[in-house]
Amino acid sequence: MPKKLKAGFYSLACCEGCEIVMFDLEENFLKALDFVEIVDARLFNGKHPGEKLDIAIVEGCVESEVDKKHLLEIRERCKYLVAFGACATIIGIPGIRNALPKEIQKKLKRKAIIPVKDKAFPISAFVKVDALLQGCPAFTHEILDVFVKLYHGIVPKLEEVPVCSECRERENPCLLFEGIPCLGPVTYAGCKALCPSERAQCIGCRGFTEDGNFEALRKKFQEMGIPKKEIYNLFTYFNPDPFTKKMEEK
Amino acid sequence: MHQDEDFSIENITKIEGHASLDLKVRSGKVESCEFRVTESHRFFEDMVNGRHFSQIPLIVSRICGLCSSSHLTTALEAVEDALEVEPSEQTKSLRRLSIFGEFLKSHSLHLYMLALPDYLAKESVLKFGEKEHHFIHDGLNLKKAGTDILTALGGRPHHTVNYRVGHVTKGPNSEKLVAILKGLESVREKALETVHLFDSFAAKHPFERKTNFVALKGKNYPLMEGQAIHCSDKTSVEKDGLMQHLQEVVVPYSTAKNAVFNGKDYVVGALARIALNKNQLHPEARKALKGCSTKLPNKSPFSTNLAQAIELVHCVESAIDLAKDLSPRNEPAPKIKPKACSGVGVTEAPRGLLYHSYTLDGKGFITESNMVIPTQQNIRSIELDLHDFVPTILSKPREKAALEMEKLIRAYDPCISCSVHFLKVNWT
Repeated sequence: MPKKLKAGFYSLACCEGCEIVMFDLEENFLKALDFVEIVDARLFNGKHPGEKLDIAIVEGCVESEVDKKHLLEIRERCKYLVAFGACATIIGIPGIRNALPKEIQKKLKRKAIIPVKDKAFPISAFVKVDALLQGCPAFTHEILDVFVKLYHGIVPKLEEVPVCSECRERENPCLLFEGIPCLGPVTYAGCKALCPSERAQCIGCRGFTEDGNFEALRKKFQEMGIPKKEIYNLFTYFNPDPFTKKMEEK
Repeated sequence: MHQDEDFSIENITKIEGHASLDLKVRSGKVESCEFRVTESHRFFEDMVNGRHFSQIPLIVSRICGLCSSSHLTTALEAVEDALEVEPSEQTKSLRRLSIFGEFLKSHSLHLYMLALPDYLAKESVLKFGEKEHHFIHDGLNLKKAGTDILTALGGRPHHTVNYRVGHVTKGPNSEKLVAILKGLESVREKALETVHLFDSFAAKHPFERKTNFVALKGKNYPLMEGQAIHCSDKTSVEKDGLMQHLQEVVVPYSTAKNAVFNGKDYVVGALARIALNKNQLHPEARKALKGCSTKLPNKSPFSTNLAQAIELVHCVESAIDLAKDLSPRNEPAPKIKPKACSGVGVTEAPRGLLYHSYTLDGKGFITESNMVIPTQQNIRSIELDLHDFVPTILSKPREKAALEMEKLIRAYDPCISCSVHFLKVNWT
């Protein structure tokens, strides 16, 4: 048996749901331990500061200088860095704060927690990211896939089709036809169209596609009679406003 | 440890979130004890402002990965209270079943993955040997019974996708319910074994400190749809008046607020629920409780683990009863007309009392919100416990004493991500 992959799990500002997803691998979690050695993870109390890692799996976003410093240290220590979940990959729900008025952001000044430019950032804003595990929370089948591929030295690539294609595979009726404002047409697939299959609209947790036709979708939402403010809110659950500049200067 | 010592534990492990402990011991007494939550603020109360009420449950679910269904349900109940929407019996039943699933998930992960290694003197579950290995399977099987409920009803184990204000977009089919029942029945014995296991540990901790307990008041061991709250100091309050009794306190060294009830420290969570509502436990859980050598409720914070184990039995049995009676049909979404209003939701999350309140404008957008989270209510008790507990373990070597302190903190099952959800503070 070749050497095990040395892995570390880290969490920055987030709900830690992605790390909990690890336990949803259940028996596969135990099987994965045959080729992955968890050497550093606060949830498992593996205290090995400084040890070199093959993979670092980082969930959460950067909201403070402490988060940023921690992230830079992790990058130094690992061969592959995997962004784990929506907060780390695309900023997700914590990013809603970035559109809050300045005076609210300013309330946060204090010594212990130094905010980074009063904003929340996905980890790719500060370090090179080798692979993404998208979704809120991340998906178990993809976690295993990333482990297996990186074990063989293959850097996994993303699905490059929108959620709509997976809805079609599952023969789901289109929610847009029923007046339900779904972000499926502009969001990356890979979730097997989980939300639309439960008759719940896609809220974009896997990130917007590069070539999404946002303008057409906005018009569609307008035709449904959704007020302008609500349309803005729908587009900005998990992602920065696609109609303005993507991310302001870091 | 010495009679005079400054002592810190940075980044306490095997709890959800980032927290540290600073102690100052002088002449064998604790002069100061600061349980510091070091996570960044997470702005949730401000992030939901300006958002449409229909989005709130999906956003606040992300406060916590472990108890997302509790946040979701509490927010739904608060918004429904505001808009005077009465969800159907079926919707309520599905939510109740989800909450049982969430308790199973949360309690079993805490007991087996985070707390158990302490009692078996192992660094973590990853260090379990052949003799202990079956505990990992036991814990994961109990968790699976819970997450299978959440997945069948809500699409996935965390951050349920289909629960909306007033309705559920798609209920489970009967096939899925049969599978849930099968899963639950397969862990009945395991839940009872968990009680025996943690009963045997509970007897080893003589430490006690008197405090107050606070939990929902109602019928059938209430975990949601809270209308009133009661306290072991014999006070009882309607949900709308809760905040007149519960004061939030800002502490300068932590990013989480603390709280007092009627001006005093108090405890929420499994131990508080059992202390106040144990007569309403499922008969099987009551039987298990009677069979324990440790009597609950007691004044030992370490008993929280046993209380959680008792609740595993309660949730497995109650979920079986509930799932047997369910035959979901598709129900149309209610027509909701927005109006200027405000509402309150109070539930029991796995870690204790959870409060959300929202104010809506005439178009259905949130203008004000507030949330009080279990862990922030327990922080003060954690500190006061350590204050009394540390002098009793000063004769132990440093490492051992630190482990004992961590054990006490872990017994509370703190959830730090939750406790830093807020922003509205004026720092001086």
